[in-house]
Amino acid sequence: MDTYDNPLHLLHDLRLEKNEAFEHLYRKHYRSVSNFIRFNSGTENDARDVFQETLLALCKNIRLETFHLDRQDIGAYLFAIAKNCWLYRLRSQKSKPEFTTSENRLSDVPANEDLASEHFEEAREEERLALTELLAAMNPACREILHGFYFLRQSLHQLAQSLGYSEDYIKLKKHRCMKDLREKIDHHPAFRHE
Amino acid sequence: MNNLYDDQLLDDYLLDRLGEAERRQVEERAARDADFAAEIALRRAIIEGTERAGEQNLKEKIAALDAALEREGFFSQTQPVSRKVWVRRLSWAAAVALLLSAGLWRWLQDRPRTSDQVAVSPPSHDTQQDNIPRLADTVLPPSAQSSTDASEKRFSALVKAAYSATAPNFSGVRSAGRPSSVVEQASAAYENHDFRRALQLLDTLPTSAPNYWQAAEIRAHALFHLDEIKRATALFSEIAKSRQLPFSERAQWFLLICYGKDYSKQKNAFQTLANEIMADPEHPYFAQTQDLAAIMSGQ
Repeated sequence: MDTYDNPLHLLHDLRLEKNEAFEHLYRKHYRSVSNFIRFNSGTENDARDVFQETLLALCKNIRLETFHLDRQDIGAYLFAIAKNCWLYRLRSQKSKPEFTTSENRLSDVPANEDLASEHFEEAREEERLALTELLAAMNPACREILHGFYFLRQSLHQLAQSLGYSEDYIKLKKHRCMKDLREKIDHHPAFRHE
Repeated sequence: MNNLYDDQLLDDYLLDRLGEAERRQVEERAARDADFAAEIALRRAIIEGTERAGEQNLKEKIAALDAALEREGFFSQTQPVSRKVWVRRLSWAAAVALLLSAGLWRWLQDRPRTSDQVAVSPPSHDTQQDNIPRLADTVLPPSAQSSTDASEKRFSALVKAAYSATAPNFSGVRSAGRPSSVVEQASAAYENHDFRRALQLLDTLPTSAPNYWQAAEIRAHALFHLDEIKRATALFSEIAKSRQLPFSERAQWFLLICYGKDYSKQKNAFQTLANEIMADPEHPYFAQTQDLAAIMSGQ
């Protein structure tokens, strides 16, 4: 019997981003998504892109506190996301504006307020990149705790269970990881504002 | 300020886990206390950072799985069209053909009984159909003699057959034993053909009820049975727009049937909705819609 016959089990493993759960979805539902896309003027490569996008969107949705499967099965839900994703792509392709060379040249000249907002955006982007570097440079235990807590939205209790520590230890460890990260941010040049 | 209490409070606030009152308290404190507001902003940036890193990891993980499946030859095993779709199409075509034959047979059976033509059309004239006056020419009132009315009757019979073939069964809504919730009681009334009672029971159900869409579906079908097609159409349309699977897809099909009931006026709405359903080969009513659309348009 397939271990994922139970949708709750499948959801649990998808929340933890387990490869086996993704592979199960590919083997069980990719074909119908691919048929739909090829039926609607797409190619096999489009289907593969859309399916990847669909899995990302599915994971994002099931991380939400408000997500519940109700009585619909996950296959129907996955297909509905894929369908919307493909129809959105088709519509975007149809309505994509085509700029002429002169229009491009005109829009290349920024106004003063555009320059100010561009500068702000650049600074924000610099901060984002710096934060990504700092997160990547953290010790693996901290990375795992922050990823589990903030991205996978696991509770301290769930994290403690999956990492094999007590809840109090995880709470303290997370606090220290955050403190350490905060100190690094304070000393990073990208975060020093006038 | 960075004590454990604040840690949890801020996390709950930023991960949207606080109730309305607590959330407002945090926001009021942030408006008064600049350090507190700065801490929120910093944490928000960290959470966004972990989310970006998490998304990137996940993207890479799925792309790696896609590549592994490609190496395995998974994507080259493509089939031109799902066999399931064709099997479903054929079985539905057969079912509709059967229904049409049954309808035609009944109509032929009913014809002599509803007219005086029985007396003036001897059986021996069967082979000389052109000489026998048309039923509509002699029996039907003048207002019903136009071809539009004949079409209306045909469409009405068709959609009735289509509805009967796919009519829902709400007995599954009930748990074993006596029905307890309002929706269960309404489904029991519906199954007993007490459609007015089903409507009465569900009239006051709030839209926030967890089984609202189930209740809406029962109401729409009850209205359909009571021949309140306008109200049924509006309700099926609301369910179809809700995107609550599987209710919305089922409602699309029954909305199509409602449009079919008044085909001469709702032809455009019927065709638009039929096209929308037929754009999705995995729609549970894909084959039925194809058949019904083909028949209605006289193909």
